[in-house]
Amino acid sequence: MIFKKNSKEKEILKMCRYCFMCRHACPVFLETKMDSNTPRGHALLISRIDENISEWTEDTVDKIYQCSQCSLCKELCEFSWEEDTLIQSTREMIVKLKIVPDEIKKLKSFLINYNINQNKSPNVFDINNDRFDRKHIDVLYLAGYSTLFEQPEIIKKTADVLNSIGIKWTMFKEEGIAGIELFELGYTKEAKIAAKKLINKILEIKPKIIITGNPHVYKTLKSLTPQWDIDYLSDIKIYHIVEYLYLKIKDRTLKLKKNPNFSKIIYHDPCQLGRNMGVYDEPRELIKLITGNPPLEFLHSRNEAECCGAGSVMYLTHPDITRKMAQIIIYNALEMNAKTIVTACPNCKKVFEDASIKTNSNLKVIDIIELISL
Amino acid sequence: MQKTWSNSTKSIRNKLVEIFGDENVITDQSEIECQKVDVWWITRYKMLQEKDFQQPLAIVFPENKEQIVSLVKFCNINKIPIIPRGGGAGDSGGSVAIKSGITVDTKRMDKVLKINKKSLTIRVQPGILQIHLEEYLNRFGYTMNHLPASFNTSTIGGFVSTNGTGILSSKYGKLTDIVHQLEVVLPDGKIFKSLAVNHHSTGPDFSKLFIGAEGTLGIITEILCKIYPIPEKMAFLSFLLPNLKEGIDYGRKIMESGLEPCIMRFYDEKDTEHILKNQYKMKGKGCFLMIGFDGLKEIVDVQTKLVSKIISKNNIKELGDKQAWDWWKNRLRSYYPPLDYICEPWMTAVMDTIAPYECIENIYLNMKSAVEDGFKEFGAIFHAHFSHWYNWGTSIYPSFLVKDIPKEYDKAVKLYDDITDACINAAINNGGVINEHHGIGIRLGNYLKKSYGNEGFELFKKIKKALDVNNIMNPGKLGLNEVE
Repeated sequence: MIFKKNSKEKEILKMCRYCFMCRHACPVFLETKMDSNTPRGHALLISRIDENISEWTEDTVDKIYQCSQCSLCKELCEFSWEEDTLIQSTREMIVKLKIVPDEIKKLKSFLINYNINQNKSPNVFDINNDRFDRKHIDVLYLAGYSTLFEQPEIIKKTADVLNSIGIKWTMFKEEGIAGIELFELGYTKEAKIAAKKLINKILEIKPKIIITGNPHVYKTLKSLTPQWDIDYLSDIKIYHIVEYLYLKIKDRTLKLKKNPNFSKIIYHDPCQLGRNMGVYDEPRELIKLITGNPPLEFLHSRNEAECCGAGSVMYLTHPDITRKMAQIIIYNALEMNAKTIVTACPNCKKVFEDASIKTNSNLKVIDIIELISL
Repeated sequence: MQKTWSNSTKSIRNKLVEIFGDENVITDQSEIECQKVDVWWITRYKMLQEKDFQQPLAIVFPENKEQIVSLVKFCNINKIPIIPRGGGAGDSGGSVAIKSGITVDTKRMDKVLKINKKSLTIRVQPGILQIHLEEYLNRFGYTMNHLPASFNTSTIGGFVSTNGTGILSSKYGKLTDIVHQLEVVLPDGKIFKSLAVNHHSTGPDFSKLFIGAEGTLGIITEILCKIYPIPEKMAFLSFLLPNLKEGIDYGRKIMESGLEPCIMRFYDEKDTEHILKNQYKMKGKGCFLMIGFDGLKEIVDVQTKLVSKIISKNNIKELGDKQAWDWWKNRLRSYYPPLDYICEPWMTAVMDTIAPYECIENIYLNMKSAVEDGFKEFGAIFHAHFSHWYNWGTSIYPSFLVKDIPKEYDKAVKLYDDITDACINAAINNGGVINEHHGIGIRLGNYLKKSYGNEGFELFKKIKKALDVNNIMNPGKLGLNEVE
């Protein structure tokens, strides 16, 4: 038995293991078309192991990691059964049982040792050295592990925009990871240690406001850490950059340059920013202010937006599946006659860029901060 | 974990990879586990018992019909069973690999090939999910008007293969009415394409042979369907009628009057009590009747008025349109657990039956008695609604439910088979015709002989034998386990 009697997970297993009702929307299923990649398939496989009818196999463990934890299944379920919670708890159990695939173990070690592995000097971001690690300053900008690692150009653009507002801001020279990446892999204990480390660093700086362009960092600090048994940042305001900049526009601190030449923009809602944190309107308003028009919308957008495939670090654990999931979004954008896809998450941007090249689509992929700083 | 392949099966796998490519040949036990089950209670029950059952050697995901042709030719030479599968949401084991073999999952053949707005048709591959097809049509202002309960999960190919029926079938028909043209890979690897229109007089309409055949006569690779502009208006009425008899009578009068409801759902006392009271907080006893019209505003308005003239007796409570609109908007809600008791271990089955008006009430009473009186000691419950209406008859959509199932596996399975047998015989013996548009498969296959008679069933066997010499196409389904 994996889960305790009368546990929430047992209830979810019972409800989901034969239910087909969300399969059509599961973005991993949309790519693979395999039942074992669906919420129902996961629940059925876990249920049989939980009831001692079958045993864990490498294949079944791998299937549990082939989920981007985008929560679309829960969103579309009439009774909001938390299949994402089930996947999270099952991954924690996989860690406990020490049956984690080698590739995931390697990734965990890499993430834990991220600061040691980080060979890039922050100067690569073309930011003045005196910008780093300043104390008692109003605004702390957190780039997030994947932005630092994969999308340093976003950091430079963010710095340009923050400088243009004239606020006092700082960022860490060695930021480290927020912990959510480890959490999503089932390493909850290690995730909490990483989050605590980051929070302690933040408390040394004592900013009034934290802003980040990375929805994963945003969710960690604003939603996850308050649920964990660690100190969290109750006195500090935490914003995603789109929220912060929209506030600055409203209080007239920021005026965006109009660029009407930028047309046929479609906005992709990142799962963690949209469905998980409820930020839908601000990015659309910013796009409207710059281009003069609201962005084009996908057939499924806002709370029903499909995952790009990068969620739950699948772009590192299962890059082949991720690439094809991202390609589906690229094709969907082209079907809506978009010329540019804008998102507000470095992970989405990364996989869309790869998919756009792979599909020879000529679809331009940019982060919203790049649109703002144009 | 890879399945351990013997030397002989290794060569099969190699051939499959040659035909489909490595990424389209799945031997992962996790996927096989998930495809061993459909909605049939027996497969669900077995999945959570320590009772294993036959599984496919491999699952293949074709991307085109040429791959299917190659597979069929290879399987014919080597006498390997082929089991076509769409959404896997049938309720009779039709897509379960009971004789092992190769499952052909069509879900990667999911393209819309052409929409023709002038002739109101759409040509599609079989593996597209109905919800995706409908979303595609809606974008251009059209609909297929095929909205079954498994709308989210079943493929159009699966619906054709079971002659599926949606909730708007009273006006728009079953798949046999919706399909214009089929392309089928026959068991010998040849490709058959039926005539391009649904209505013709060019000898027998061979496309009908493959509608409802559940993959026993070939694999469908292309479908041309009717489509409709999204209706300008929908309107609903609902009533609480005193009893079943009056409800059936009013349904008949509405249909014979020439009105064309797109939807008419009539619930027996038990269904009314359970569904409407629980879901819609409705008080009162009786039988709930809901009627809907769609189309041009003027036509909808006239039809709505005329219904009120037909149903105007004092003992009938008119409930207005709110309950009906609620049902329409939330029509899939009852298929989500916990409202759908698919999540429970309870023994359940649907035994959809259709019959002319002269015998429909008697069939209902006999089926109900067969379940509730015949299996009283097990607390068997019978409930039904009537949801597909014509001017000559209607269908009963009955379900049985046993919550307290025997602990021993063999006894539980025997009880399931006994209730099914009693209920189906009660229908057939009183003039009913099996109408299981969720699939005949294994569960009801043996009743085809009784339904068609010896001569009729022999004809079916001869057709099967002529087309599928080596009995490779979905063997053991539709009662065709006797074909040698």
